[in-house]
Amino acid sequence: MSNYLIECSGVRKEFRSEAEILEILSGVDLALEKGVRASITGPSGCGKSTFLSILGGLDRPTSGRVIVGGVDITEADEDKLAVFRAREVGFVFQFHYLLNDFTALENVMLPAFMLTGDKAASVEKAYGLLEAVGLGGRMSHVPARLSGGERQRVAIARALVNEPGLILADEPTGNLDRASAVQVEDLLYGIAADSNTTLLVVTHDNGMAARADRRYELLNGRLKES
Amino acid sequence: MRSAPVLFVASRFFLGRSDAAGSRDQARKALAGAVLSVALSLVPLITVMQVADGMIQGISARYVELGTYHAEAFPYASGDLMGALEAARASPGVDGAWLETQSVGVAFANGSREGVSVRGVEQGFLDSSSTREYLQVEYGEATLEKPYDALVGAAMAEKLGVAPGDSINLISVRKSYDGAFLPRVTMLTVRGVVSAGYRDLDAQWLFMRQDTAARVMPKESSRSFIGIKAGNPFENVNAARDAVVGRLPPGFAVYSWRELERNLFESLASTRTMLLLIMAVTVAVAAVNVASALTTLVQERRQEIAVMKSLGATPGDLARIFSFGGAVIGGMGAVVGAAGGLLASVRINEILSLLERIVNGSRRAFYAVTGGATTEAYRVLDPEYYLQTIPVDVPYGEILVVVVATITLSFVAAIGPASRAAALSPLEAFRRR
Repeated sequence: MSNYLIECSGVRKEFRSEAEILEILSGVDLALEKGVRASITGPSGCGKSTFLSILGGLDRPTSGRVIVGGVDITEADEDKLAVFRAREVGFVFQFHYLLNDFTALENVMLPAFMLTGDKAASVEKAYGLLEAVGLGGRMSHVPARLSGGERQRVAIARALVNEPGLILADEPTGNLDRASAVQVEDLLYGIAADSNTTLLVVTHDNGMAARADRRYELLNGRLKES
Repeated sequence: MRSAPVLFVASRFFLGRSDAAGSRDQARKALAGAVLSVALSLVPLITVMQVADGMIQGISARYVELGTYHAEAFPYASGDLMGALEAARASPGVDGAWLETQSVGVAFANGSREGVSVRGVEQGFLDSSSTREYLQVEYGEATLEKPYDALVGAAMAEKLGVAPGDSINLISVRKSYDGAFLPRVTMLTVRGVVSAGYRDLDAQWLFMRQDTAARVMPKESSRSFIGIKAGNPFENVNAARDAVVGRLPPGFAVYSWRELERNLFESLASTRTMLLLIMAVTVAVAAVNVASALTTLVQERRQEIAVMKSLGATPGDLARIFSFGGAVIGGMGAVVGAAGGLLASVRINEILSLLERIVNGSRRAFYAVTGGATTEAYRVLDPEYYLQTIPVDVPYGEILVVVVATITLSFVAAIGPASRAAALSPLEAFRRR
């Protein structure tokens, strides 16, 4: 059995339009062990988010192989990918992408409820996670009544509720003020370390990138460890 | 995803929370509009269904109980009428059998004349409970005691200006041996004014004693037969016919009420079907509204749908959420519409009366101001052609079918938007932000 949680080899991604074929990823290789905290930096539009989406099973590579948590997601059908996303991956986006008609507690418990169908157990887990991210007093608030930093903390709690092996964070602090950004950064790195969860952060923030165990730079469609 | 989370997510997507960000009001308004359009499409459908059923049932019952009987036995060749009458009365299951002689003539009274359908009937027919149920005595009494007593329909009495105690001259024409037409005048005394509640019948019927009619009305324009009643003619159309067939002496042909008035009943049924089809189009349009509202919702919820996918929802889960929502919208509209339709149905006579009062009041006020002459009072359903009062008999079974069909139609209408939600690319939705 492989020691790696993520194994990518020769990942290419093209975007085709009538006018041109744009190659965003030109053969990306990456291998990360479980519990590693890694960061990817690079200029805007270089394909960082696209690569993250491929790792999370939200997008498919044009070619190459991607195995995450033992699942070959380049071969999996839509239903298998859905189960993979529910069990293996927790997403934290730049924009919180919380569901507006759900309270903080409901947002966090929903992935667990969807996976298990057990509402009571899901609520209990969500309750504990919201306490852990310092939002014990905001359980019944809808996103519209939370600050940007609070929303992002809810999003982190949501990403953790199914205890995934991998957290994919795409510019998690990109939309926050400095104080909130630091809080979210601490939270992500802290939780990943405490729970031995693999964390892969895409960021423009060099400070945040520097805290990772491994730093990568995506340049000209290829990933380089720096 | 199991059913509980699907229902949970669907309820929030469709009903939302009052304290959530109000940026997606358009879809909610469209959903409320879809519920309303389904409800509004069902109100006339159910009302028309009830009114048409009530009218058809009411008219049919009047024709059957007062006109055609449940079955009629006609003699041909030299059929023994009296022997057949005895045999019919003795047949098991027969509630009553009576002789009738029908003819035509012209009634004169007070300087007015009207063509009449003469019905020579037995008192037993007039006294039978099913006849009494539908033939109301407006004035006088429904008895033909003396040989020249007569009962006239309310509309005819009105046209001739006669009341109980008045005389009517009934003119019939017979052919002489040399081929000339000879008029015969029979003076009748009005004993009662009766109404079937259906002006079409009230305007043509003149009842007299069967033995008198057989004697005074010309043979060549008369027919005598046996009218038979047995059981419920609507539950078993052929009950009366079947009860006597094989028991009558040779020389008789027996026809059920539906065979005797086939054209009328098929015309009524066709009219009902046509009306319901037209109304069903409005329900189909409402289903299109459901599809349109759901499409708006899917458009507005692209980002949330993408989030659901990133959290592990399968395309099938999303299709279930939206198709379930479509069925719920249809269900809510159907329940509200059915309730409204039921209310309108049971109050249809009051509603029509109120409508007539409003229209007639407005017309009187208009003519009072403009100095014009008021015309005849407006009637929504002209009693010349319809029952004066619509019988209220709510078809609960049919309403249930309509509600289920509406929910099914809404579910089907939701399949398109649900498929679009299922096929939505999460990355596309995130990028469009």
